[in-house]
Amino acid sequence: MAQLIKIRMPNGNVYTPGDWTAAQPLYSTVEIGTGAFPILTAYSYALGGAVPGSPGQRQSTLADTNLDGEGARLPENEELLAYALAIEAFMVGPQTDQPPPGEYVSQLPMVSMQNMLRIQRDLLVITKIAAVKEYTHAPMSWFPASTGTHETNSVALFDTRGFVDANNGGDSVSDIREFASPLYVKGGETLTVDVRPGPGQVNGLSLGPGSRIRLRFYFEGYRKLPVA
Amino acid sequence: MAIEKIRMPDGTEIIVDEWIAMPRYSTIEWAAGIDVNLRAFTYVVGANVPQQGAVPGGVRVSTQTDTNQTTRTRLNRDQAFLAYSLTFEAFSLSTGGLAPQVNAPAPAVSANNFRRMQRDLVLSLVIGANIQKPQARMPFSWAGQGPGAKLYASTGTLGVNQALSVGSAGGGPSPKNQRSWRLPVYIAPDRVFYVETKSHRAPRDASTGTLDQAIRLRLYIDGLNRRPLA
Repeated sequence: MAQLIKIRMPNGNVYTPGDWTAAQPLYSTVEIGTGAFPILTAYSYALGGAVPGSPGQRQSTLADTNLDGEGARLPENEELLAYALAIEAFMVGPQTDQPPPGEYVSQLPMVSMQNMLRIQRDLLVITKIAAVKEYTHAPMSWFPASTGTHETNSVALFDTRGFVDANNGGDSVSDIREFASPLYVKGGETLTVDVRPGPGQVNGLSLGPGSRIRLRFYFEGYRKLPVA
Repeated sequence: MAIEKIRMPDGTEIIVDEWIAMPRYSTIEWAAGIDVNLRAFTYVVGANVPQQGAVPGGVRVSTQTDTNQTTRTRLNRDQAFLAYSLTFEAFSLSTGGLAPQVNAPAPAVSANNFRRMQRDLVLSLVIGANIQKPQARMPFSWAGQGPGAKLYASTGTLGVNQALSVGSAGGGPSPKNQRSWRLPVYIAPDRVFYVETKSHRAPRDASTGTLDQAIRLRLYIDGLNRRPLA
């Protein structure tokens, strides 16, 4: 497909048109299950690739990622100036109706209080650009979702159990944590976000068989996209 | 007839118009249990509201509360729009939730259904005919909610062994919770535009994560609207 990359004027001047936008965050998804795992890497795949950590290597959809190209890098014709990273969580998969004693269970796709605290406690988020240096290195809880559902519940008489849903930090737009200095990723450069469990797994994670906690990562910032 | 230009005796042209902070809005509806793929801003008042699936109440003729579009799927030739935010409000057309114990009576959307929408839906603002590249695209959860009802619940329930659970976007409905774009998006006069709402639900979520309420979604593009002076 022909793309407008450069315009050479009759006097020899060369202009490079670009379409910068702040209306499209760059997002990617991984899925966390019970048991040990060394690393799961967001942005390691492009749209249509397999979602890391998903049962059966589920093919990603536009709800999982909007990264084009081959994955693990920004396409050659794009640029990214990220000023914030946000992480939101969903519970997916079969719902357990037989929770262990002392365990609150949330209804899908909410994440329960205890599971949210476990992943906040045990997961480290490491952003790498150009595969050289780390640009973020902090627990997942450091990056509030700034998204989520504002719930209003009455007193629960749900059988004999209540429920406590949880969000990764604040659910308001203003709750996003902005970088003091933005991160720049030029076209073609590798970009990954590693999710690493400090103890080797998320300890005590209570999920039904085949269930996962789906984490969607957002880089908010300015993106230069192809003109056409 | 609108006054658009004034040509002065010396040949100078003055363009006369009025920029006003007025959002454009449009409504779509879809039934419970299906994957939505609808476009908003594609109709004017008096046309049918775009629907998908068997929506309670059936086909519905739109009113002024559904849309303020003056031309189908485009801006009028004497208008322009500078968009800096995409937001929404959601209503249900049926009672749902985890009936019978936990539910949200219509027109409230249950918290679980709202979270499913946040998980699966992607909004795309497309400008231009036969254009694939969106000018704005985001998962539904990323678009904050400006308008909506703030709720205050007492203790007690709707009935024996029943509880209420209602959801809205994070932070609660508030203009402060609309996500504003640092670089606004311009829609030129007479330019085709629409907002696509599409579900990209993973197939494995089918048995455990579909909506159990029919939804009416009113989408707003917030920004500055240029219109003729008279």
